[in-house]
Amino acid sequence: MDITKEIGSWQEARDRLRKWRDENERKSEDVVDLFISYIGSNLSKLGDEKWVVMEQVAIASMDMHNLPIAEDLIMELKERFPKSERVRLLQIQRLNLLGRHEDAMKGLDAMIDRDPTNSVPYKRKIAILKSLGRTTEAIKELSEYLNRFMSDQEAWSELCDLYLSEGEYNRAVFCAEELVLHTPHNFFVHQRLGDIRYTMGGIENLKLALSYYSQALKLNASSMRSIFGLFLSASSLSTNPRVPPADKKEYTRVVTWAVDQITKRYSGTNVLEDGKAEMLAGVFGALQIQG
Amino acid sequence: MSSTPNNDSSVTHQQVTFDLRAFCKVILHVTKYPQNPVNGVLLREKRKSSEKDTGSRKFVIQDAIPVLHMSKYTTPMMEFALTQIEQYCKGSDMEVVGYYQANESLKDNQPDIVALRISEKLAESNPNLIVVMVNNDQLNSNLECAPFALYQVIEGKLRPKEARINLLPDEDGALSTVSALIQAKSYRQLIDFDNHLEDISLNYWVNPSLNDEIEQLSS
Repeated sequence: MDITKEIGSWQEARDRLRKWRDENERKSEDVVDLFISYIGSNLSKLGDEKWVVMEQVAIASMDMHNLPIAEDLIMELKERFPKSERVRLLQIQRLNLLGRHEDAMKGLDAMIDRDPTNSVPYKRKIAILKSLGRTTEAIKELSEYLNRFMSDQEAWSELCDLYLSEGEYNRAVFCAEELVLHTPHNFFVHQRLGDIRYTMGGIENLKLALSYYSQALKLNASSMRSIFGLFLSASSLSTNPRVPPADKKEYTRVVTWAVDQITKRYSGTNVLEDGKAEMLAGVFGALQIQG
Repeated sequence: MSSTPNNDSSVTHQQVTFDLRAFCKVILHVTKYPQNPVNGVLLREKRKSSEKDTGSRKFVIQDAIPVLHMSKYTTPMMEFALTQIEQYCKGSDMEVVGYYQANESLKDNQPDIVALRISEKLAESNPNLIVVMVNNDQLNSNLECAPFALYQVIEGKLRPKEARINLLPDEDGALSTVSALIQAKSYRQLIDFDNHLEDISLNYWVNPSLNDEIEQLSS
């Protein structure tokens, strides 16, 4: 849907931007489109809201790599708020987009020195290191950051991903378990631990994967990832020659249950019509033979 | 593949041709998720057993199936997707002949451990597998050429592959169609396996509504 067709006036555009700010929706593409079509020529009518809209559009236009829009806005914000750290962040983001990464990181270090309790510059620095593929440095910065801001779940999640990208599964598991402690009722963290344990492979890890996926399903019965994961780990265990026959029987029961669930869910849609249902059946056969 | 695949790779694949559908889907997948790593597989129609592998047959990639834009470092969802795709191919006389990937970072176009692991797995059933890395830094709404770097699996490594990339119906036609699709924001129609996991009524293997849009904009 083209947002400019949905919105008919600058007032509506203003309200929509406000809504997205309140709900922390980034919507960069739409924000820029609304700015071009409605807001840019009506900025003076926004009163004091003008400045925060300008910040919002500057961020969005940099997301969209539209530097000309961002530069005008940042310049005007800088004139109005010469000492603002928020405007400073926009300037730093611009440097980064221009490829001046070292300058950007110096600017962020200076911000951290001025106020070590502000988490934003740390995270920006980590994002720059990541974007440059400097994973080891990003891991180091992020670990230091987590010493200060231990309850930042997003950061634990990011560290988990960085360790995964380096193939450091045990450390990734540590981060994911930290997340389970923070939000034990979030199915996603259980499913993720299932994914990691499944990736690590071996009977013990597969058993753990199976129990994480079951937990995830208990918390959110509609999660397809968890049910596929449950199926994969149970079916791998049920065909592993080193699993005792009595246990195998149990795993086979789990497989049957999962297949049944998956088939039911697919038959509730029409996505497998025109004779493609055997596609699904084939999947189960193929995976069980692979074991 | 029963015919002698080794001769095949040295002689025939000096040109790799992307049909419009395949080309558009790869570009739109990357465009839909500019901040994420994305990957998927490339397909072509199976060669008929009556057709001799003479080397004159052009290597044409006809379609693409977008797979992931999340969690590429863990294996289970990719494993499940590949098995589903394999079954789809069996039922529709297609075969997987390639793998594509775009990395998360703008500057990084090198194949990584994930690309190698998946390509090796796919190469088990097709030794001539083409691996396409998308050059993120060449991507914009006015493409000047196919932003692809080709690789192939040789002795457990991904090595650059010397080959000309052709686009169908022709280079200008393909590039202007894909630009028009991006401008029309058609990438919002594109469904990958990760989207399918959120809503299994979405068809990621055919992408029917996107196919329609590609058809409309190219004619």
